[in-house]
Amino acid sequence: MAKGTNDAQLLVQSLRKAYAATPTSLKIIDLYVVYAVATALIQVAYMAMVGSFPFNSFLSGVLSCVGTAVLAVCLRIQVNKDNKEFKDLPPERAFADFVLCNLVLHLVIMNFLG
Amino acid sequence: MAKPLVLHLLLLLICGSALLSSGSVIHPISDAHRSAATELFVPAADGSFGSLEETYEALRTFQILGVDRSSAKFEGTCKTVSEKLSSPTTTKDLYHALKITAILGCRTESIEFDGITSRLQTAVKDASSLLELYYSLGGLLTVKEQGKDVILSDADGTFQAIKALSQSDGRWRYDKDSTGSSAFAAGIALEALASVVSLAGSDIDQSKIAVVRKDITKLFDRIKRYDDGTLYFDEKNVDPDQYKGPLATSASITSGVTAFAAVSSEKLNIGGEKILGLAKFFLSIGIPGTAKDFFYQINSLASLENNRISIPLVLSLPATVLSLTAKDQLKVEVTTVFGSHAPSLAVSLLKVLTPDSKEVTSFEKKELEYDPENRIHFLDLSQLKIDVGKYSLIFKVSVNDPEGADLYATGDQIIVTAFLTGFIKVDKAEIAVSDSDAASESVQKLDLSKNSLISLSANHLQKLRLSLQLTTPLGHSFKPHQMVVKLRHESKVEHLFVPETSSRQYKLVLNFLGLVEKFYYLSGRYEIELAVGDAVMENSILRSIGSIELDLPEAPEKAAKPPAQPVDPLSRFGPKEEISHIFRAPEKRPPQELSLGFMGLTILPLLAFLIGLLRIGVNFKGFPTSAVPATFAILFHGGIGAVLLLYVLFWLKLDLFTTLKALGFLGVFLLFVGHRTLSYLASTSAKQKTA
Repeated sequence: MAKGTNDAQLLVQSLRKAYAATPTSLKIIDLYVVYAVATALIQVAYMAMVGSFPFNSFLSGVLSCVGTAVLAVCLRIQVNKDNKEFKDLPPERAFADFVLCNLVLHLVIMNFLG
Repeated sequence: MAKPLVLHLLLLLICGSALLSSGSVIHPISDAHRSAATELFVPAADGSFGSLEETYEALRTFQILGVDRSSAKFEGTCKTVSEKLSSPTTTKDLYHALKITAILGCRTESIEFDGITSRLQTAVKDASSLLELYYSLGGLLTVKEQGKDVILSDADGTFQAIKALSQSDGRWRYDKDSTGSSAFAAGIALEALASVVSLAGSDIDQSKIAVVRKDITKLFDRIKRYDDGTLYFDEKNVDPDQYKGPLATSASITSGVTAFAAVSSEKLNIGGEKILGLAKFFLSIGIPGTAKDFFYQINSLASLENNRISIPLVLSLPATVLSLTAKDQLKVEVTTVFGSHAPSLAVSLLKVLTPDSKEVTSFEKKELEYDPENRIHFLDLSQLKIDVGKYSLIFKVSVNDPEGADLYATGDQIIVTAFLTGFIKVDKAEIAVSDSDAASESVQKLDLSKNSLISLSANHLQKLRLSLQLTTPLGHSFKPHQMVVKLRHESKVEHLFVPETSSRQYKLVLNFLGLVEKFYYLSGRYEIELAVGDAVMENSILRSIGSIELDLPEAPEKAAKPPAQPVDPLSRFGPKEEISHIFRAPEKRPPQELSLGFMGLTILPLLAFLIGLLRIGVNFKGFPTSAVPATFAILFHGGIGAVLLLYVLFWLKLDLFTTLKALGFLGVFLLFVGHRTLSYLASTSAKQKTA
């Protein structure tokens, strides 16, 4: 058993080291994703406690978090220099897409929020 | 001996039923006609009734009926008419104006008769149509009747001209060119021919008059007949605009034929039966509804009243419902069509027929007695020995003076429908309740003349018996049209029963054992009502005779429910029951503090994100430093912020359309600015890479 925990600790440490090597911009995006998902989880917990009465509000809240997280992930994929697929795509263009899609998402969300 | 009698009777019956089916009610002209005339012909303020023709028709009707024509209104008529006579007018207007002058007896000093006469004579010479000839000849005749000297030059030629328009079937054409002929025109032509003969005196060749007599006979071959002997003329094969209808056609022919008969020295070969048939036709109209029809009827009847062929006499009954119990008399009036006195006559009642045309054998032919004071023929009903009922009475009228028999037309057999009513006696009325084995009966006598009510009681094992006898005034047993016994429960459920008849008695037996289901197992008090009725029964019965307490067993489960009684139909408009509205219970909401707590909890990840950003080491180094790109960068971030602010406003109070409009503007701005900023950043990073 001690070997098991040792192995887990070694795994986590190696992951940490590898993660430290990622560029800052990608780290920012990762942090943003974590933030969005955390907000979504808090909303689900609230709904679990008090019931889903204004169901549309619940949906719009959760989906805005999830949607923005998804868009951030797409941005991360496109901006990552190691990604051969998007080699020719300038990161500014990707960012512009991210902003535009977010604005559309939030318009729909605000309409559905009620 | 009996055989020829039977045969004779059979023949009579056949002839009787063939000739006469139902007698229509005919009454001579009476005061009812006079009052109807004053209501129908209403003069305008100046005394006219519309056109000259209508005025003439109204005044002629008044003259015949004896309605007062001396009122001051007609002074004005005289004046207008004399003005018409002096001014140039059509022949038709001249004719009507002259007639009006004659009827009203207007002063004729101011009228220039010579001028009028010459105008009319010219008209006769130049006339091309039948109507022109008719009006001009009629005018000349009226002038002659006023006492002036009138000569008709070429009477023969005029006679010929009229005769030339006749057809072989007795009808006449209106002028040489028209192809259609009509019976109405025939009447006009005959009247015109009569005027020629009156004006010419003895200048006309008698053979010509004989030819016209033959034409009249042919014309009368076209006469139409109803079953009861009424005769009339109608048109066939004429243009629709020439069709005048049976009344007008018959009226025209009647006037024409009677006028011609008056001037013909030999008697016309038309039977009195035809004259009587025409008189019946005019009388059967009753009181006509329009002024024109009224004039036609009255004018024709006036021509028939005094015609030279034969004068029709009309038989009428002032009352057709006679009561045996009240010892009414059968009264019969025989008068002329205008109700004037007839010559001395004998009226006999030949036969009495029942509604199914069978002869009442107990009756023998009787002659009616005459009451000279009231000029009525009468007969005591008790002499007839006939029981109550509906009968057809067949009369025959014969003139006492054998010479006069030719002058008057009385008709062959006259049928009249009459009702003989009477008081029906109710005998031996009994009501009884008996046990099913008929051992004991409690009988109660019913006296239907008194208002007493009986009360009985019975259970379902017993029977109810109601019996009575009905007798006519002559002592025969009577069968009424309607005899019904009704039992009505307190809850208004009704049951009807019809008693059966046997020999002389009516009996109703109600076996309650069999009727339990029919009564819906309803026990309680039932009212008994008896209804006996007939058209000839003077004392019809409809009353409650009493009540019966019925004790019926309980209704089993599956028994039929009594029918629902009719509800007052207006009750559906009354107030209805109150409805208490149930509102939806509102959803349960969480307590306010919990919601606010979680709102705070949601902000936490944002704080964590910002702290994390600082930990990672974000910086603003990439922000452009030079002026223009910096402005664009600031505008870019400002634009994004503005859009987000717009969304917050949208959630708070704006609607989608306003938001979209604003978003449109902001979006375009943002695109432009963002493009500038990002392309600047891209170019700088590209420069960095290459450098």
